[in-house]
Amino acid sequence: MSVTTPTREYIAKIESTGLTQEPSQLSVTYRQRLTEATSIIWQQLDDILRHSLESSGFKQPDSLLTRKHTLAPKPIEMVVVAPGIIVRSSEYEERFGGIELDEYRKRMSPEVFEVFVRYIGSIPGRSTLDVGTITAIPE
Amino acid sequence: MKYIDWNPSIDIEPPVYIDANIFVGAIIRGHNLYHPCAKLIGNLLTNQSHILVSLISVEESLWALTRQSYCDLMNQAPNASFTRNAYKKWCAKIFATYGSTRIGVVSSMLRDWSNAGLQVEVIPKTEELWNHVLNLAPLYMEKCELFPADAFHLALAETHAKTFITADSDFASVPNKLSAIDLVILHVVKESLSTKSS
Repeated sequence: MSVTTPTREYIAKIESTGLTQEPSQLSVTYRQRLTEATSIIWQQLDDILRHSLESSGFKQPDSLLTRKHTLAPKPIEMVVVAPGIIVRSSEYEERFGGIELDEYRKRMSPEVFEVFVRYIGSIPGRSTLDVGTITAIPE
Repeated sequence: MKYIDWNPSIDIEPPVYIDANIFVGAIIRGHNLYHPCAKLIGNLLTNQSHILVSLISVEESLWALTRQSYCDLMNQAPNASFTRNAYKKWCAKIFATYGSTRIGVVSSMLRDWSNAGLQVEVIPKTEELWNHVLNLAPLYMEKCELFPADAFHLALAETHAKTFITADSDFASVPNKLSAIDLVILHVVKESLSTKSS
């Protein structure tokens, strides 16, 4: 009968040995398999296990893990402009910011609105671009 | 003939002949004509305007998107030198990188507009009108000191359209030299300038 204190190493899998209804027989092994980028899940799992073990009488060390709140991956926000046309919010702002898209959406048929938003601003450019220069036939 | 700076409150009389710089200006974002070009296209589509295009406009659009791709590929400024020799040298690389996503986008857009029910027509429409365009283009080169492609744009617009939409300021002096022609040249400018008209 042994109890392994859950460490705050990040793990992808919990292996248990001798798991019974009696907490004194609980053995939990943490194994690190994933990168820290995914560790928010394991942070939460760690919290659950710590709470469970502590409430069962197994006092846990205070700070085996330094919490890194910056580990959570930044969510990518996507915007559905029209059916089938999904862009990142940053691209949405670049392409459609300053254009009254809702007004066009109201006044165009869905088919026309879709072909409108599919193309406008679809290629990134620079502020120094001169449309007169680039449409000139080269020599 | 009138030459007017476009603003969103102007009523545009169809049919409209659209210069390549408007198509390209609305497709590439981030430059100072993007918003007016995009809004202008939005207004034309909203009103289901009769849109006229020519092979010259499509050819110029193809060059523009190829040039933009070349500059991106070489990490050069958009106004960097781009010659036919550079195109020949880098053609394969340009198409390998941007061929499927960029180069044909104006062609795809026009096809999709048409499939969505918009009236998009290629001009010249008839052999008679084509002959008329052939006669006018050299005249406009001489009279208005236009480059051949611009002279063809003007001749095509005059023979087929009520409104010619362009971002090219080379047409500014045309009304003084061809005043009898029934055509409005709508000039797209930066938004801060679009309150003025001439």
